[in-house]
Amino acid sequence: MAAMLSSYFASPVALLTALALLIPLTIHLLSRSRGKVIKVGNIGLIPVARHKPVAQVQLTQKRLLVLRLLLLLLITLALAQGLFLHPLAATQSQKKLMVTNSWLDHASAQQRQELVEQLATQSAWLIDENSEIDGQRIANWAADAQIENRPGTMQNIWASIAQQTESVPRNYSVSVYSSNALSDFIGGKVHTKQAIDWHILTHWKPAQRQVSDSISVVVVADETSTRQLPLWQMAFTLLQTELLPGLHVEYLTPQQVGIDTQGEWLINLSAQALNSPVAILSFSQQQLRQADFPMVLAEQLVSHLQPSLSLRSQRLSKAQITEPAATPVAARRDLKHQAPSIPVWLIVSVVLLFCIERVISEAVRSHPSRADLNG
Amino acid sequence: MEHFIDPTTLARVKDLPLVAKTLAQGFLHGLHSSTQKGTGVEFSQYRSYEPGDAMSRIDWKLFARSDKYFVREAQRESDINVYLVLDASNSMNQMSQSTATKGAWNKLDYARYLLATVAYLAQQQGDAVGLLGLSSSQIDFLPAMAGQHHWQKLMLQLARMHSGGVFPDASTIQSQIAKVRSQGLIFVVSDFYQQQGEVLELLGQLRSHKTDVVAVQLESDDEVYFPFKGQVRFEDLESAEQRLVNANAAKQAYMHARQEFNQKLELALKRNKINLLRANIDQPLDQLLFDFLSARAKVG
Repeated sequence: MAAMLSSYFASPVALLTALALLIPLTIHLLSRSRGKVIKVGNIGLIPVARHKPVAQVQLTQKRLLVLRLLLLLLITLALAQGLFLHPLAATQSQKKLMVTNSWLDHASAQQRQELVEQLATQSAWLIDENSEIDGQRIANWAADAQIENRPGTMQNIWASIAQQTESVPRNYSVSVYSSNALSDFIGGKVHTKQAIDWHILTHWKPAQRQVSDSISVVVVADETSTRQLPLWQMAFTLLQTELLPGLHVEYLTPQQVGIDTQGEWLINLSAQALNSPVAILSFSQQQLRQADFPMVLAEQLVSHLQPSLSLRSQRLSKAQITEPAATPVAARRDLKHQAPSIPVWLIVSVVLLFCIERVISEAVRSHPSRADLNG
Repeated sequence: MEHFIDPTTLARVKDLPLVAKTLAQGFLHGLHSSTQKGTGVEFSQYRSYEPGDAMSRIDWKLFARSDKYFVREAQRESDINVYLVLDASNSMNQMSQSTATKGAWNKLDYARYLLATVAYLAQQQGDAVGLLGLSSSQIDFLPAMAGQHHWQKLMLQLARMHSGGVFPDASTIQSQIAKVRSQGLIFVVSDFYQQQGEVLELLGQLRSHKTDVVAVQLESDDEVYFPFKGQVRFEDLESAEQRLVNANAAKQAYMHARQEFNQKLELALKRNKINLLRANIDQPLDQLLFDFLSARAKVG
């Protein structure tokens, strides 16, 4: 309810407070118009207007009552800073659309087409790349190709959204299209000034176990490695085919290895000790002959990618994503992004109504007509 | 007796006899120094014994001679029966708005205390005191008798009286009128709000060459000053009729109507040679008594 009120009023608290005051004031005005009951011994001494029924409230009093209630209502709207009071401001049709790679990767063609239709002529904001993306690119998005070429990334979409919506006018609607992959929500929630309309894609399959990340391995072998080298080669071939297509193996001699040798792993099958900054991977002879040696090797090779690999299949619930973060004190006091001030026409209306009410009220009091004898 | 008791203070004391004695004592010590206490000493006449007469007043010597019961009447006793007539219609429930929150009293309460004090004064002087409470829903009658015991009965009757309905038509209370209308003094306490002149008709029937009638008209600050402002819905205590008025605008017309009402009442009572006292229930009660008894003392 708070979110809904925030959509229409810059100051929902002021609105609720004003409404709370409005109720007893309205009751007071209504009961005042009916008059306080005084019991007397002889009603015959109380004058009555001959041409009016005694129980009828004067039209003047009704008008005054309506005026006073209208005045209260306008003051309430002014205090609550209703956003709909600014007809020249942007309407609700103005929106900002934001989308993530993960959503584009896993959305169907129809879903992407619906997004394109929503965009109409404007562009969406691609969160992962921190740039705009037009409808054409969205429509032609090739998920497989994208996934293959994209390195595994983790990001905090909340922070990205908060940053992007910092300068967005309050009357814009912000829609975010994302999957619920955990890798997109790393880190704490960040408060956003705007209410976010989340479109969470929950039905998607995690990426296959094939890791497209490139892994570079340097194998150093000499004449002493002839017996174990084939085992390694066989394992590498298997991994390249089935699991790690990005695996790149370079075979060097001990003399070719130096401090400028590059790679993520170095496997020394030679008899010489090597001086290289690359991390060395080694296995015992017994391990080499085990049937699961390729899998064990694969685990070692991708061990630095484990967090990314596991995160890609982890998901958050919708509530975890969409529940707003606590409003920080600074945000509450941030005056820069408040709604536009009270419109001039509203202030003028309030003042005018007040003056009219006073004039009529004083006129009734100072010059009561015969009809006013009956209220 | 210059210091009078505030009515709101008096209203907090719910003991009717106590209030009556408190108020009356001041008068008994001041104005009535010449009052003869107890029964009268100067023999006047014999009369036949009536139920209720004290046994001590029976002349036993005469009984021995005549075999009939006769009582001795003193000179004073044969002079005055004091009857207290109380208007117990619903209009007597009116009270002022300014004192309502302080727990002050309405007209009926004021009348009760006033009559109780008068009854005490009369009883102290040896007068016979009777009571007649009138409303369309209930009529209370106590014959005029002297004595402490009778006075206590009268206090109890006064305390138990409740208002209800309207003032009854004189034709419905002829028997009571006949009893009340005897040689003596009749105190009538009312606000004199009537529908078809029934109060004045009663007073006219009570008045005779043997009977002195004192009418006490009760009013309140609200009726005297009309202090209301803004929209006010007045409701009649008896008919429940309501009128919604702008009090500021209606004040002048009301004051004029009230003045007319009072003048007509004074005229009607004067025609019947009935003394009128006007009492404001928001003013000290003993002040009224002081004014009344001072005036009587001067005349006497």
